[in-house]
Amino acid sequence: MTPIARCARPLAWFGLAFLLSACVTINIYFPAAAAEDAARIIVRDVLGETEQPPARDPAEEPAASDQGALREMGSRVMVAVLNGVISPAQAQQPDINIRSSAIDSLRASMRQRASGLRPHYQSGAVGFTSDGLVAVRDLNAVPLRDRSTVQRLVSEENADRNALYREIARANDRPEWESDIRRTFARVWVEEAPSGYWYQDERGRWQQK
Amino acid sequence: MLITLLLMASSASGRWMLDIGDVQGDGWSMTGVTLEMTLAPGPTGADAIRLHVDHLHLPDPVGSAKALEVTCPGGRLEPTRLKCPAIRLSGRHPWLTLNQVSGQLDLGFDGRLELTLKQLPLADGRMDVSVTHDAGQWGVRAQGQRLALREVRGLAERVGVPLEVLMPEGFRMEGHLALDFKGRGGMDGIQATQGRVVWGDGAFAGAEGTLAGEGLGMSLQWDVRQEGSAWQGVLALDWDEGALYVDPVFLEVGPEQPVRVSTRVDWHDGRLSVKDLALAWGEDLRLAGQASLDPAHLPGSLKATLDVDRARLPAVYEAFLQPFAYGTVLDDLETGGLISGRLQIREGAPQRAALTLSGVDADDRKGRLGLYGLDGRLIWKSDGAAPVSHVSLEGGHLYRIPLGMTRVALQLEQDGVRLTQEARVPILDGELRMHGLEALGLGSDDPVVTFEASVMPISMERLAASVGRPLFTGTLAGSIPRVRYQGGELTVGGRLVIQAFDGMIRVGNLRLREPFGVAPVLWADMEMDNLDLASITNTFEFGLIEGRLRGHVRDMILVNWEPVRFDAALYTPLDQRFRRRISQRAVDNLVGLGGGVGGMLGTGFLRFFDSFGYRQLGLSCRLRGDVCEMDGVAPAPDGVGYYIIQGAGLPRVEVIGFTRQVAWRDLIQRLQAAVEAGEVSES
Repeated sequence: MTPIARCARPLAWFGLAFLLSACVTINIYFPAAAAEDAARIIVRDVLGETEQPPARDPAEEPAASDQGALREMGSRVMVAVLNGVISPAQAQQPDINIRSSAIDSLRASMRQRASGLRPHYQSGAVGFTSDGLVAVRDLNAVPLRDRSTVQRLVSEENADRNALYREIARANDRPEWESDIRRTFARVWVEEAPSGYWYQDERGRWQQK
Repeated sequence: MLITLLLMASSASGRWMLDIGDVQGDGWSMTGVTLEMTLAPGPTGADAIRLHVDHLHLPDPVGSAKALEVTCPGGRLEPTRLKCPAIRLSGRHPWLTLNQVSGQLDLGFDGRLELTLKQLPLADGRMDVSVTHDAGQWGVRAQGQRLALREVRGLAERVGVPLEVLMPEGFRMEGHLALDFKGRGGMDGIQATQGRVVWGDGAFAGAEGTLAGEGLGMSLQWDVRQEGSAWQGVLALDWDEGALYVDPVFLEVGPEQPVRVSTRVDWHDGRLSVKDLALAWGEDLRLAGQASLDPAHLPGSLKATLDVDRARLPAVYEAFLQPFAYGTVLDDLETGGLISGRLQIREGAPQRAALTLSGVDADDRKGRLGLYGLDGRLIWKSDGAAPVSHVSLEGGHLYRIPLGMTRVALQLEQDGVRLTQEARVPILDGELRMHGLEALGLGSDDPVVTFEASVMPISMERLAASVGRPLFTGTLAGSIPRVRYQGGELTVGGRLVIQAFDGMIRVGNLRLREPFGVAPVLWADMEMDNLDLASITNTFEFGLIEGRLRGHVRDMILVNWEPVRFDAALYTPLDQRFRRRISQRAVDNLVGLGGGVGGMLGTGFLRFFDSFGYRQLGLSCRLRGDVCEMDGVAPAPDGVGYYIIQGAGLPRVEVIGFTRQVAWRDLIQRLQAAVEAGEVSES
């Protein structure tokens, strides 16, 4: 839930009590469950340890078969383009959209980086932070020649993650969701992490899963 | 000196026993001293001498030893000296293991001393020590082998030397030292020292992991002596193997690319001077310099000159520059060329810097930026009054848009840089002219870059081809006033005008966030007018449409150069007079674009017509994320669909769309399919 308060412009002679009572609170619903599902799809895809293949846009397959069916309808003098041909998926699920070319390229970039980060997650050199990012936990656990690389991987991963949360919010046309999306991801990264990975609890202390 | 002597003699047996008692000197003392001698008859015979000391106290750092026993078999006691060719030393000492240590002793009763101890166990290794003393002058030579560094810390603590300053908590050092130390001095202290220490199998690590070394092989040589009140000498460090990490720099050194540092030092009146400093890292980096400073008044007392005689790329970039560039456009470059420079520091602050680039190439492996054949000399002065700097570029690219030979004249100011005259960057057949470029606050967290530019006509066809976008005919030109880059965002004040397809495309409200970041975001508005559809459809091989196109793309956002949001409409205006014809193939493609199946016209009687008339045609798309909300030029009669093509004349062909929600990538695929089909059929 993201409360957005809009207050009437205060007039000088109105007391504080009235001012408070004049506030109108509008609650915008954040689809937490849908966001969590979406986060899980991306997190599994990125961490690369999912049992089933990453979820596809359900729109793709029905669209193709519909087109096949249409082909049999033959010719008509009046050429009309019929409904149902094109994927209406996202519009009919007004929950959370994780498909845009920006999100796809960020996912691909994170997936590519995952193999480089995995040994450092496992060694405890790098862990998941409570704000949905990653951080160097113990540089001594990294061989000398890789230390600089680990720091680069961490800063690149964080740039991608920050952009990912922003772009998911944008893809849903709700920039104000960014912090909710980040919180959801922060939880899901930890939930989906294999045991042995390190993460920060809400108070910022490192814990091993 | 106070000596209590009690002599017990048994001259008959030739055996003497001297109970010397306590002996005290300046800073040292012995208690319970007894000397036992068995004198051999005749001048050439060997005497047996045994010295016992209950308690020996020497000045720090040696400290106290107990139950010290020195035997001197085969020694000789002469009237003026005691000579022991083979002594054995035993006793208890807090950190020296004195267990039958062998050596030699030559002690003159006038105070002259020559003492050698062999293979003294120390820090898991062995050490030979020899001490000489004569007429107030002393000398020490210590040669150690395989001294274990991990023992040194404990040793230092026991000796009473605090290592906390050099080795903070959690810091560990490993490896072995081989030491050859020579020192000489007088009663008031050391006067000269020279020697060499070799560190093998060396490793060290700080608690944070930001400072560490592994497999190190280094040696340090010194030769320092006192001249009056001053100290002078030379130091040389050779680093031949191993790896070092000094956050964020990692450097690995091998015998073929060693690091050598040498310098002369001079310590006089509380001021340290470093002269003839030379540093070489193989053939790739050569530094020279000099400095002088007063350690008690840092940094204000520092005066230094550092010359980078030669820094060769890519070695220097990869080792020293790249780790600092992570997260910027310069973090993944393929580089070449030479850099040299000079830095002058006065009163602890940089006063003048000069940098010379010779044939420097820098090519981003991610394809964002390339600069080739950079030559130039950059001069900076702290008072801002540096002479004009010049840099030239043979060529390059920005996001694969080729840049031609460019020369710029720059004024480097205290905290910024300014173009002193217009810079002309040839781009394909056109030119970008930048004037008034100014970068301020470069040393701060919030640098600002501003400039104005104008674009001399560039062929859109070549521009589009260079960035791998669909072909486009026309030219790009315009003025770009008030360009500003601040806080990672580039904003453009004016409008870019693209003359293309006999019409105009205007681009305004242009804003670019993190242009070289992981997901650059571009905002823009575009207006198109009077575009010739025949030449567009010809260019894209879409199937011929005759007419004029008008349209807009508003509130456009591209992330990573792909659209994620816009409100776009492209249509033939009703209020203009022009020929309106559409070919069968174009109808097919528009049907396909609308989501239907093309080729339907080819099966009925309409296949006999090449083209059809139309009243108006067009599409609009309101893109949000991946979903495009489609519309046409007018609502269809049924009130549900929309006209993509509204027909005119006979035979009348109308294309009506019903789908409102379209996945953007489907639309792009269809467009590509239409264009590709055209290319195939042409060939």
